[in-house]
Amino acid sequence: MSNLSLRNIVKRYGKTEVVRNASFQIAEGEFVSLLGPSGCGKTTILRMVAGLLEPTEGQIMIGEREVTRLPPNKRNIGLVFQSYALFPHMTVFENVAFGLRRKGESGKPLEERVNAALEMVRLGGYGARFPRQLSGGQQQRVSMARAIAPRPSILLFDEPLSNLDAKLRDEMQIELKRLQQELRITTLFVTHDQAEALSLSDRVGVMHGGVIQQLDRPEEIYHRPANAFVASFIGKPNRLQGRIEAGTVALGAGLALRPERLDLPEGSAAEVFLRQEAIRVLRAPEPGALAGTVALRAFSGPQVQLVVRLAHGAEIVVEVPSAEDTASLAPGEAVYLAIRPRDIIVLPQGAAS
Amino acid sequence: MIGQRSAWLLIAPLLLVLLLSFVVPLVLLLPTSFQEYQPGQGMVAGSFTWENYLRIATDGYYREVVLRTLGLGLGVTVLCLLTGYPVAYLIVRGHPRWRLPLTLLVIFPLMLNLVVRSFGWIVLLTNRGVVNNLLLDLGLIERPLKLMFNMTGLLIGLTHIYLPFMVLMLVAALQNVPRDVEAAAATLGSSRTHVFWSVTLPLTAPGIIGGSILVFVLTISALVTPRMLGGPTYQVMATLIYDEYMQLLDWPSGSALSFALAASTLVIIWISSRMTRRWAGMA
Repeated sequence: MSNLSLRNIVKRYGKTEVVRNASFQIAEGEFVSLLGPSGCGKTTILRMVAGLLEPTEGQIMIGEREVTRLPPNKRNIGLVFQSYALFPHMTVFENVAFGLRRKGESGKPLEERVNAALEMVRLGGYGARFPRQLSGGQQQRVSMARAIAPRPSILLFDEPLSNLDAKLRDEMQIELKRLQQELRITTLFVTHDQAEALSLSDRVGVMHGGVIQQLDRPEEIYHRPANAFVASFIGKPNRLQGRIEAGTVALGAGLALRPERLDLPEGSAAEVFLRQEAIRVLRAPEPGALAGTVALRAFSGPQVQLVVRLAHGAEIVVEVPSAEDTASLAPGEAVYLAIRPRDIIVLPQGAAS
Repeated sequence: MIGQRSAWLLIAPLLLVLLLSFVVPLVLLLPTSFQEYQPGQGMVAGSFTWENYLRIATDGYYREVVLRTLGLGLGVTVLCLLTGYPVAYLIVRGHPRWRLPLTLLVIFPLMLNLVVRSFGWIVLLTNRGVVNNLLLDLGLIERPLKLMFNMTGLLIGLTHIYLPFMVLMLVAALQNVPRDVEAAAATLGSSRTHVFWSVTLPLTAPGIIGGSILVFVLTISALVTPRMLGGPTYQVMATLIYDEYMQLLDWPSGSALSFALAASTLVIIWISSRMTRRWAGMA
């Protein structure tokens, strides 16, 4: 086990920069996710750490060892693929034993370690089967056992859950968290699923356009996004335009929001992000609440979504639990939206997309 | 999934052609192979004998031709595999810019007529041919090498002709090997050589076996090239069958040889498909 650090990593294909100057460190035993839309460069970073791609510039260190130009087989890493990438011509046992055999393990100790790894992913007794005889979830568990069996110093996950259906994904997520807590292996996890990233990680790096926009604890990412991209990518935010006036954000038509913190100069243009789930819907006015009318109502089981048109014309989407009294609000009715000052995210307008 | 009815419909044209042009003539030929042959008179009507088949196994000359044919098939298959695999690997894994030129280079010989290609080899391989003259002029040999009318000539000529089939089969097989699986082996501590032997090669087994069967079957049944590069005396089964029919008019003997050839082909295909299953660990 060791820490992982990237220093000024750049990856270029011809003139296109896929990764721009990425630098970060993952402490020993820490679980860090890279989160972003497809094409943001997160998988490229992972593959460079694995040695499957060579960075154009920069340095990659595993512990005290520089591995930037080392081939994958000299890096002592474990990689779990989206496609599972099991060896189809080998049994589950041989798949898991592959890395151990490469390390010179054999006989009884090998057998014990393979079985222990299979036990850990709850596939004890499946050793004699072939990958094609297993379900997708089981195959991914084999692939995890295969990656952890040789005790790598770094564990890498490349969207390991995105080939699984929703229900299985939730189960595997818990499994993964449990596994990582037992092993405490330094982990880099790449995903486009924010719920996955936020719930699994010690820290999350949100990526966009080859740049790590923000690398922080999940709570910070969620409540204090560093820029407009992070704010709009995480959660289900509403985006409103406004102007800073007298310590509030004026939205127009007399509507104003008073955030907890406001670092922008008086008179500057601002963007306000309000998460759907952070807005309370009221039937009666309350000081500070925004007045509007219901424009649309959509029922989705546990939630009712309301589209509320504010007095100045902008629309906001809010979520109400269907058990609430306000869930029965019909289009045309007047509503008041209350937002706690700490849930109002204000960022300068036109800063990083 | 395709239903049974549609499946039959889809396969019907092929089945019909095979039935009319292959199975029916074969069945008609079967009685012939058991008839007696009197030189000068032809087939003896109403006779029945095992002689034609027994001779293939007992007669020294026939046995030599059969073994030579099988040896030739094996040799050409191995040569095609050894020379074809690197080319296929380069086509699939090399720079994309090389893919098209290399593929064309492999396919190009197929565009030339078989007779022309064989003549080309005669020009190159004969006693006073290009290869021998060059080696003589360079002083590397004192006497011309015997490159024709023997195994060497047939191996060279047939390998050249059937190499494209092998390469195309291997290209298809290599394209089916997921890169992630190879990458997984690499991250688990496998060197590039070890990745090749432990992952790439076993996963291309279906292509290797498929290509080998194809080349082997084509080789042992080849007629034109063996005739031209082997001459009238260095016989293989196909040329022998041709001579039995056309020169000696010994139809029973020719038919028996044909059946022996077909039977050995079927046995070899059966064995190798069983081998694939065991080796690659998959159906």
